[in-house]
Amino acid sequence: MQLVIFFVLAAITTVAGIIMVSADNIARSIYSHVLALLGIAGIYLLLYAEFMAGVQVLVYAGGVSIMLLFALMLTKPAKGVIRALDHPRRVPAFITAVVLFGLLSFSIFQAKWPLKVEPSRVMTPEVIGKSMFADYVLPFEIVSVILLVALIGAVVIGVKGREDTDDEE
Amino acid sequence: MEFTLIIPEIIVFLTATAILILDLILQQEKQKKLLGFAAEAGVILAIAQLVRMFALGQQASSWGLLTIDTFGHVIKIILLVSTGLVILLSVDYFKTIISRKGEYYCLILFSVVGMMFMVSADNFISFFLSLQLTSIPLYILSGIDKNDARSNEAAYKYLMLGMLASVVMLYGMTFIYGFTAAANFEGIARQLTSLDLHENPILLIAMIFIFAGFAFKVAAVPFHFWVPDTYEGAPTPVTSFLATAPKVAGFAALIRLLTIAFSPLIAQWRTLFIILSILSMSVGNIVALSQTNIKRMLGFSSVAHVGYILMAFAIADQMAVSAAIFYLMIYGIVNIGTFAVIASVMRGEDHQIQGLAGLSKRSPLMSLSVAVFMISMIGIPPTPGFWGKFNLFASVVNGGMTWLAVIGIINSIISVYYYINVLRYVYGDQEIGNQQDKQARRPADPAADGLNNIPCLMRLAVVISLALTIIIATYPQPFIELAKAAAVALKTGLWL
Repeated sequence: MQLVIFFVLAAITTVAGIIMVSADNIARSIYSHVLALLGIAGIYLLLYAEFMAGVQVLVYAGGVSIMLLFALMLTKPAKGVIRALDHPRRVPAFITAVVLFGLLSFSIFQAKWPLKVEPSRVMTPEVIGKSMFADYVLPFEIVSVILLVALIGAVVIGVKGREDTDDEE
Repeated sequence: MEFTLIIPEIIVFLTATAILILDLILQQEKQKKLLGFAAEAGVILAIAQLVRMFALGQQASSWGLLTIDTFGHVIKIILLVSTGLVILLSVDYFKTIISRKGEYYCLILFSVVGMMFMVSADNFISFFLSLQLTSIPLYILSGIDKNDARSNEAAYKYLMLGMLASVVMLYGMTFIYGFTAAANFEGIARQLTSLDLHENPILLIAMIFIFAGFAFKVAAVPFHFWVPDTYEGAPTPVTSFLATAPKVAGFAALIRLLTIAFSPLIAQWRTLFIILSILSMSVGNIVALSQTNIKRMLGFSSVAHVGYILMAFAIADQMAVSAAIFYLMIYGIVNIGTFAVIASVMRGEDHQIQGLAGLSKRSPLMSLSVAVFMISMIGIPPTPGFWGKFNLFASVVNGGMTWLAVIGIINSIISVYYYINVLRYVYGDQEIGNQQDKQARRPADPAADGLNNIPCLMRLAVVISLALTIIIATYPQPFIELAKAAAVALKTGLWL
């Protein structure tokens, strides 16, 4: 039963992923992106990672996609963008992807995975929260600095400064 | 109080935050210079603290997914000295070019905080996050000159390829985690010893993925495609930062990862690094021969230097690693010095090598510096470059790979051509006609021919790099000892 659900979810994710990269319309791309992310959230659920699944839905399927849609809404796409998505080197890229996929899946099946980890059912938000603020407090703080940097970067790149109006260079 | 271990990082972080706030308080454009001085002060304070910690010589201690040890202290001092020079160089360079100076210094300092954590990281989680903290500011910095299309291109290429490299690296880490169920380096090493690589080729693939990420960060062939465009397009102080600090940090993190986490697989990764090293030296040097833009040329030359340093990983004993650290010190100072000269004498130009023609007549100090730096990059005695290469090649020969050292020496000989070519323009007479032509073309541009008004801070950056170069040339021994102390401090099974 689990296997069937897994394959259904995997199929949804893969198809949505393919549509996402091959769609001509960016909005369609974003919607299939949401679908792919929801499929991944389903796979997390199968692996007993309820918290991860929840975060995946909230942050990615919810937040990030909405942001993408907002970005799309607030910028006016230049004419001819659709053409630009159609890269001439599709065939070599496809071959590389297939070879890499074959190589990876071959070695994944070949490998003798040493550990049979039982799904731990104690990964409640409480446990995660405690370890995040005790053992992993430094990485947690680094993440917050990364977010600060991203914010500053967005200001530097996005907001018009004085140099944009008076032509110095 | 365990957080005393990361006081240097905290100092740099607080300086960056303080600059953000100070930027809001200082309204007038003239006062913005203070931001640069504040950044410089923070860096010097952090160096002082690191020197103090180094002098105390405490035992390596772990905290919060980091290992704080002498190796980390030495590398962080190298990082901060380079950063200090870059900031010194930036104060006057960006006087007119960008208006967001607060953000500029703040991004540089945040990136350095990331690098300092990366050097100490002994866990995939802390390592990957600090790598991101290092990289994201760099993407923004290379595009900070928003009006320059080349700067935009530089940032875009760097961002796209950098993200790809990070993702590939993360994918490799997940395989390692799947096998070992451990994210900390020592745990990985313990688990890997019991695994058979021949039954599990995926381990090799995972390792290649992780190294691909590193190779991108330090710009080794075949992951160097972003180098020429990004080096050329980014503003020169940013280029000097890109060419030194992230590479030092990347190599340091690679040393820690290889000698601790991947020590059981040494036979496999040594071969990989032989290939990477030969490719990087040869491609870097040969392509550099045909460059006419000096920033592109230095980009390829840095690829070649990365190749020399990677030779040390093909040996990976204590002597080779300490030689690599010593080489990194010299590489950092000499590169920043060279870019400092370029930034001072070639503001607002297109950075053609011909632009340096007749420099010896216009500015003796600058041309002397160029000469010292170029000769040092070739590695002719008695420059520090010689000591660096001598140690490196000696360790390779000592490790039993004389043929690899020979390839390195052949490459060094090839590199003589393009380094001397620069000096031919700087000291040569034959390009006078060209130079007059240039002056005729733009007589009114004060930055191009205004060599007499090189801002004093830029001059200071050049002079400090020159002084450090000369000090290392005269007294290399303390610096070699420093590198050795760093290598000895590594808690690795390879040389205990």
